[in-house]
Amino acid sequence: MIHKIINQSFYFIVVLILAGCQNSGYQWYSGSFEEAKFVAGSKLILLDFYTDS
Amino acid sequence: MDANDDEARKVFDEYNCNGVPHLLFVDQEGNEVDRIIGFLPPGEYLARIQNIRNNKHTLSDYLNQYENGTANAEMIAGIAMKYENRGDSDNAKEFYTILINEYPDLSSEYNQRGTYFLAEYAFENGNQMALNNYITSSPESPFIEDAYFTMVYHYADKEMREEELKVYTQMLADLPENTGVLNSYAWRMAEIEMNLNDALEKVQRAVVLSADNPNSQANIIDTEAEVLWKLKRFDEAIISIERSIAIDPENQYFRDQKEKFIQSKKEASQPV
Repeated sequence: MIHKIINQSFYFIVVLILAGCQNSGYQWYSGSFEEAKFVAGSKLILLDFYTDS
Repeated sequence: MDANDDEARKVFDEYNCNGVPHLLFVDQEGNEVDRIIGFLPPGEYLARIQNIRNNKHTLSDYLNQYENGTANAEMIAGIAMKYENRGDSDNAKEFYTILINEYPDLSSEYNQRGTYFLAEYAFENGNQMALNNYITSSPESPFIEDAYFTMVYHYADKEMREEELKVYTQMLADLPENTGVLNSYAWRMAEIEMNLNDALEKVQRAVVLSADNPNSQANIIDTEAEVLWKLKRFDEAIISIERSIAIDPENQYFRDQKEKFIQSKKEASQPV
């Protein structure tokens, strides 16, 4: 639907990324964004926004 | 985690995000480091993430270089685009202006983007002719369609119906074979219940033109069905939406549309 507005479910996932490290993986985080900020320390927080369609 | 609708939308809006997929990188204070908008090939995507986590080619990296006296067109365009992506129009304007004044290469993609941004900025800040002037002066620009859509959405938002219709007329004359334009016009006419027969003609042309792209065509046929529904041609609307469903059987939206049309037909056939 080009240029149509339809109701879509809308989500994000939170991933913590260790800054400056070449061999670490990406750590999926199971908490809220606010909680992720609290525990992130030197890690970057990646928010991946997506819809279900 | 999978955030629920409300939290995701709140954060999305808070960071002036626009469009999905959208990857936003922030530090522990919640300060944005960078973002990736849209789809990228896997190799490019991984390279971008590695750069971001090493603070390379980020806004703060570019600004540090700029403040230390390093300047080139690519870097200044990079700063401007990153501000633009963050919704920071004033700073984007400042750096696009520097780019165009100091690196006046009219054929450059960065300059084309900057020139369009400045016209859009002027339009959104009250210069009603800015985008029309841009369209007239840059007929080969890749941003002509964006310029038209910025105007129609603006006028639709402000409920300036006459101006909105005038821009649609201009856009259809300028881009008569553009399926997105034809589809958008038809959907909008269905929304505001105006020019429905013309909308039907335009969207049917878009259906033909989109034959080589079934997914896009399914959405355009859905617009055709909506216009037919607004014209109270319920049987034809049902036949149309069934064509969309045949292309994309899993699409719940199309199925809901069909149900809506069937219900309208039932209600219309009941004696008053």
